[in-house]
Amino acid sequence: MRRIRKKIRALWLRRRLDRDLEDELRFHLEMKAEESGGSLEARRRFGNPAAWKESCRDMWTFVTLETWWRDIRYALRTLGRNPGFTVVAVIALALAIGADTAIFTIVNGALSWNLGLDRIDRVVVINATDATHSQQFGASYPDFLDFRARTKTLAGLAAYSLVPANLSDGSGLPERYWLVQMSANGFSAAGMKPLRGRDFTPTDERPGAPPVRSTFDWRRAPGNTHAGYGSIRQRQSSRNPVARWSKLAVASLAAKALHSLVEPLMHLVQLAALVGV
Amino acid sequence: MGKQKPQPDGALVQGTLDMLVLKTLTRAPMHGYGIAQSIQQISDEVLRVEEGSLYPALHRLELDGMIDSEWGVSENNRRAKFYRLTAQGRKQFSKEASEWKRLAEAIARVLETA
Repeated sequence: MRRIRKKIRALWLRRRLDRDLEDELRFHLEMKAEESGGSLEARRRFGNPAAWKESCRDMWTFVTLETWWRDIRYALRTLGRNPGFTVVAVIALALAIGADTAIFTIVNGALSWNLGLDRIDRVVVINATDATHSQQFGASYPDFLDFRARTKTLAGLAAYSLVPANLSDGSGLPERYWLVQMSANGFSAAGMKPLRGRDFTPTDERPGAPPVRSTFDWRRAPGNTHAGYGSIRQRQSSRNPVARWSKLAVASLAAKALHSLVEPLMHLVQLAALVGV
Repeated sequence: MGKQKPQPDGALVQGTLDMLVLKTLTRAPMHGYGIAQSIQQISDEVLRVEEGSLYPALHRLELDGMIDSEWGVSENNRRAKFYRLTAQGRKQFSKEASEWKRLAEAIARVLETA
């Protein structure tokens, strides 16, 4: 603080600062000359006075700011000298920024962001953040259980993650699907009720729980091009890559539907908390 | 601001110049040349103060409020910039000096151990 105050004062006395440095240097050299008997010798022993003055001067001035200011002025001068280039650059930038804004506005307006949920404004996503790297990642399953057990602000909290898997009914070639691993309360927390069958219950999360077959209406999901209903079944095969997640209920056929439901959030989301829906 | 050249014998240990400058100024206000002379003489020419580091150090100490400066007249009637210790500088000096003594004693003990 004191430094800045002194520097600001030195700003008004810029010429005096230069003169003072000059005088201080001259006095030193004169004394040195008397001592060593010759101004040449004194100068030689002193080294580089210009470098000395500069490093002292830098201390009293806002070097970075002044360098920026000089850079800006230089840039403007250079642009002024090449009007053709300047015009082209400005037009290119204007077009790019304009087009960017326009496209974003159209897409933002055209896309539905409600994800087929009734109260999307009440939905929040909980992410773990590494503050030092401002990096986001999901929460672990035990963390999720703690969150869910202790939350007082959320009406419901469900966990899910997307995993790729090759599924086959044994007759044809396996097909690659995106599966959603989801806690049993996923659908109920999202306010979705099964059209046929029953919703998952907490007991379905247990290892070895019997499969559940039910049907949810997933036509509401934006971006969904498949008409009809998906049915949901818990996979049990131990060869299934999701089996080790057996604590989580796994929706297999509905994965596509859920995938389109959550795709816009896909890279943000590991843990969705659904409030008041 | 190039790299520091290898220092000749008698070069100051890094960080001690500030302390020596402050110490010199505890006796009386002094100009830069006098400070360098004083340190050199009192140390029996063992310590040599390079102008290239002395003046930046003085200006830095002044900006930090450890010392004040004032133009005055030197012993041989020349206009010179005199530096004077501030209260803050005095405090800083005693802090640095006791820290230095502690270190020097510790090093001496280590060296003396057979």
